[in-house]
Amino acid sequence: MNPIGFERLTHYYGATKALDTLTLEVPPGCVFALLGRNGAGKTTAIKCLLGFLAPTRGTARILGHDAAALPAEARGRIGYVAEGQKLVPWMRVRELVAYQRASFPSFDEALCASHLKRLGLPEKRRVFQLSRGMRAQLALALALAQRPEVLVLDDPAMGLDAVVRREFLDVMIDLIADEGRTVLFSSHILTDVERVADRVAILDRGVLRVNAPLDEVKRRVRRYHALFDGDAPEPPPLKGLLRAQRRRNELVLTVVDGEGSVEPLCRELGARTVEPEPLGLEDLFVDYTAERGGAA
Amino acid sequence: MRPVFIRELKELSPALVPVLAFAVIAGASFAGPLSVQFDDILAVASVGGVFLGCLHGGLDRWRRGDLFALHRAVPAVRMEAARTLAGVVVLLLGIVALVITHRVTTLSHLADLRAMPQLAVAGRTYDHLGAGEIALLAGFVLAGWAVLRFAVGAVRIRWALPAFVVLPLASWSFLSRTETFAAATALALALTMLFSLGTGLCLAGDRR
Repeated sequence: MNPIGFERLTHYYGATKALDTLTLEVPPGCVFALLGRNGAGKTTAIKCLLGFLAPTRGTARILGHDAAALPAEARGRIGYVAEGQKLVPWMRVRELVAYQRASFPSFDEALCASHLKRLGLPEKRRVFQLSRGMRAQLALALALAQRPEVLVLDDPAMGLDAVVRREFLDVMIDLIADEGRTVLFSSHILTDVERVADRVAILDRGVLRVNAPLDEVKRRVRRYHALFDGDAPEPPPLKGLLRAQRRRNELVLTVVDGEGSVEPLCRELGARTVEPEPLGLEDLFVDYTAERGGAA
Repeated sequence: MRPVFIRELKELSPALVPVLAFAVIAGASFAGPLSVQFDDILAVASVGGVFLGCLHGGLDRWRRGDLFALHRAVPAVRMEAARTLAGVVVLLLGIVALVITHRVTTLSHLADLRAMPQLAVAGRTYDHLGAGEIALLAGFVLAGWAVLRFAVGAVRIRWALPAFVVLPLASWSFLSRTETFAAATALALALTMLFSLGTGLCLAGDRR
């Protein structure tokens, strides 16, 4: 059984649908990135997964348990770090470690001490005296010291500068690489995701649009630039078309599995040249989510 | 659940100063030259419980978004029990302060503590505190705290409504100043407290 699963999970905030029949599985040992714009439903999905929110319909499952009735023992096998997590501000770092140790039977104090040392986090300093980046790293160190089977990270590097974010990710990659942990990782920062994720899911307004290995997504989605002698025509009806843009004499088409079909169609419309372009995750994400989101 | 208890105690500690100040003032005025009725003192002292209840409930409400505190490998009921215990400890410190202040100012009545507990009677003027009065005082203060904490911090507010029905009944039976008020009040207070604390524990999982 996969360590994480969502089965037709739907959640409403009042009349607003935040998640719409989300169904996906996270395989063991996978670094799984959950992507989406603000309000796409990532945090809602994670809160349902950890039992902080009761879904309106459907179920979330983690480590074989229904998230709505997650026992304390299972919670101890899950590490969780959220964006801007409120650690206890008045506690010293070492007091926070003791607080955490008391709540998690598998907490490895020696491992925690080595993380703190590596990250240069002063044990005597109070949490409110730490920078935002240090607090994020502290939260990660505490979560990893639990030796969790599943690590859930909800945009943990949000708001950190590029250098701190890079450090944070390096630490995360090093720490999880050896132990084959399953990681569910939500982020806005796609360059970060590209560095660490094995598999990605893209949520758009609560609806799952993509769920596939990152390499596969990048291989299957291409952007085609078709150049015409005059003004570019209306885009042709294409299976797998994600986004079409007309720029004077150029038609730009982002298509899933368009190899072999896009070029002949564009040629029929009078295209002089048709050039495919591989996409980075960021471009790919924009093309998946911009259609109804108002981006150019 | 010592760390949760200690954390709660520390986070409630800003309330200790006003609670203790209130207790000392109440204890001293009770033993002062003015002839003060016990029920008046009781009403004044219970404000301390209500104050701490509001503060504690506010803390509970704020914690609802504190996912770091909520994601623990500890049953929610145990965490709630540790937090409740911290609130009780703060209030008991207040009551102890009140009693000590009273004792210091009325040394001649030390023997009363060893006397058989007797429930207080409304309308009577007291110049000393016996065990019965202290018990009733503690009950009133704790009930105020329990109900207000539960109401302010409740996840499902409708569950707090019955407690609000019971508390006025207790107050009414108290203020009616009959000879039997003490038993009725004590019963109502016990029910209110049990309801508030029990429901709070039963709904502890809701905070997640």
